[in-house]
Amino acid sequence: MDLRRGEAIDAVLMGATDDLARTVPSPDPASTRSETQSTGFWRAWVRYTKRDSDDDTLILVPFVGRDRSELVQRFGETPARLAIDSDRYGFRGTLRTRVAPFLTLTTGLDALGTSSDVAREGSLTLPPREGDVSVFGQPPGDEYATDAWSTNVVDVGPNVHADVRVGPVTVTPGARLDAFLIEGSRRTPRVGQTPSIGFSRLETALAPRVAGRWEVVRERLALTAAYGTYTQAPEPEDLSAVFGTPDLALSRGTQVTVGESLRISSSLTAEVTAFRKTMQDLVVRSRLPNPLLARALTQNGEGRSYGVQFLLRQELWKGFFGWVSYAIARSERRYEGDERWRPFDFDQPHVLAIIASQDVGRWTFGARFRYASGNPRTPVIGSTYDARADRYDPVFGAQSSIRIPAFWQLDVRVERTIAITEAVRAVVFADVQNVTNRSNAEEIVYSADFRQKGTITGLPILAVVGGRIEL
Amino acid sequence: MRRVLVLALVLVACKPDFGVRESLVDREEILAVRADPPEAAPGESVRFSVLVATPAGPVATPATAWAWCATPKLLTENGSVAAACNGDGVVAAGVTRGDITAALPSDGCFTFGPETRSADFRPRDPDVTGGYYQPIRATVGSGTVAFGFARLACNLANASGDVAAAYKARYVRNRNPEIAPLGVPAEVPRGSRTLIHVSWRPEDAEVFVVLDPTTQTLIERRESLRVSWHATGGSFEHDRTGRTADETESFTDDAWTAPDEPGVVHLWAVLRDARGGVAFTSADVNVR
Repeated sequence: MDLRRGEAIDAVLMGATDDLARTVPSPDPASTRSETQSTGFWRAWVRYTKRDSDDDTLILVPFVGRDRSELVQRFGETPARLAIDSDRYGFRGTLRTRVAPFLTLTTGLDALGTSSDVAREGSLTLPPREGDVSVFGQPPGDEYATDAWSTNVVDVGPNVHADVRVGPVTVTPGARLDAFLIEGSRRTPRVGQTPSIGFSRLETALAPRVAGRWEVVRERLALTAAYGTYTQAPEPEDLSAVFGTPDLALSRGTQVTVGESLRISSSLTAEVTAFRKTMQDLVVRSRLPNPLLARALTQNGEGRSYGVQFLLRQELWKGFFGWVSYAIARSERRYEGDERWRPFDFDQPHVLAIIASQDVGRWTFGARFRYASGNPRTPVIGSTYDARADRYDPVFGAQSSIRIPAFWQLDVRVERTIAITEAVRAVVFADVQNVTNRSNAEEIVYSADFRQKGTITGLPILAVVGGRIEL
Repeated sequence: MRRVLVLALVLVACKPDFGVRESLVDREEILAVRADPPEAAPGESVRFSVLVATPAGPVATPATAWAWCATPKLLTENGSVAAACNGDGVVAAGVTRGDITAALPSDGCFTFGPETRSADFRPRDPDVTGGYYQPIRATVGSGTVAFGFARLACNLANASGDVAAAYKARYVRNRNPEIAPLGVPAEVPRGSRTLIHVSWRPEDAEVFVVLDPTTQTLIERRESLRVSWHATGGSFEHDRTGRTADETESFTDDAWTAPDEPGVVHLWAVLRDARGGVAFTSADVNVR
């Protein structure tokens, strides 16, 4: 809604809920599985924008909202439950001012508060964390713990950056100073009727950032580079005195990118971006057989990601458009002090996508090809029988030393547009997914005694015919 | 404005069928490790026995190497024992033909239970019945390995003094259940379907107290019981059956389909209660 000249205000309210319940019954009390999942959220925000004649811009966005999630699982007689109710509130304000023809200054303030009530029961290993060694479908440990706690995390981050334009070079130096207030209701596990002792602390982080762009050949060739540091507060569910560590501090990351953008023709562009990201103080499970009280998690994790992304894009030209994107990258993790890096649980060294579409009269023909490396998995090299639970436990080899077989798939699409009236069109389409009927492995699975290995495969060839009316 | 109408959609995903029934004994297997008594304090004597089955039938006195698992598992491990207990993270307990009687390691409640050397350390979590277990590794024949467990009688952790005292007064250590002989005919026709009945004493579903960590009070629970079925031939309808804590019946049935070839088939039923108690029985059936 426009208020006055150069002023506008928008208000948005949105929300969604999702509920899922499923049960796998069994005549064996220890084999009955059930899962109930419930999530929901809503957000309301108002956006005020003011632009003056000097093109200075002020944007103010206050918001409130609520997130709710509950996951209840039962593995035989062992229950597992994680419920999080979070009130979220915040504010974002930015003022962009042209100080001089070559200098634009942007100042801002971000504030985000999250007040959460968390309840959890079950095994420490459920839900799993990145880096846990397990196989698909393996039940969690039968240890049982419970905790209920509340947290309040507030992040206030004033920030400033300047756009300095000198000829073909634009440099954007900036900085952000985050102050995190981290509060919780319990520093130690509950014992008897002892009153809870909470905690409250302030963590600060200065994050310098700079980006640059050099137009080597005007509107044809540009070189870019960027550097920045980032911080992240601990998640509310990690601040439990039973399942986590109330004293968790900030996780930190540093990112560097270097890129090139080349306009080959008026509609054909190529981009190359190399990146490297390092992460410190990542939250991981304690590796001690006897961890300290309220120290089930530590910040001994570190990570690194590096790689190159390529993009060749053809914008619409004589009815044809398409692109090729390819990323070669590695993402790795390790405990501080370990010699060896291991692949991140979702590491995919190669990801390729080729998209093409051609209009021929009222017909449109399209194709899509995708290739992706499989995620890392830890091999099972044997098994032992647990005579109490009457089940086999896997014996693992080197962590994350094998991968799910690579995924590739070719899809094609044909679309026909039919004019019904001048204002109404019908579009009929046919999609054929996985044209080659390839059995792509989605996950590695094992027999109950882990002597046999197989894969869960994805969808076979699949035809979808549909239509839509465009008014 | 767009209205999308999807006319047809068929989704199919595939999970492999390994074609292996856990109840079929097609190689040397350890079907159970029984501790008697099933619950004891560190230092107390416990007799462990192992039930070994082969396609040729039961092994009466299997040569068994016993070793105490001496390494607690990490917080990151899902399995029942630490990976190190598959290797050298054990202490030898002896080599026997059949049973072994040995005193539980004296530090069991520290290594596998809730007791800590200092209040600064995190007590281990119990299972849902409030139990902690001392693992023992049994290796038989050509290297078949199983872990048996004795439930440890440890002090109650994370409870106030009066609740801990009440627990000590009210808690009754677990006892092994007793299983009745299998209700199965001596002879059955080839390919026939037979309902097999197995029962236990009503008191085998013991009631016990456990600390509810949410309310910090003692609550009463009743044991569930489950039966694992095994046979050298034919097939069971279910590999395992049983009764939940809410079911008061003291029996369970399973349907067994005889093989198409004549001969003697060995059947076993292993009864387990929720706190680690074990009993087993067996029978031979002549398929004609």
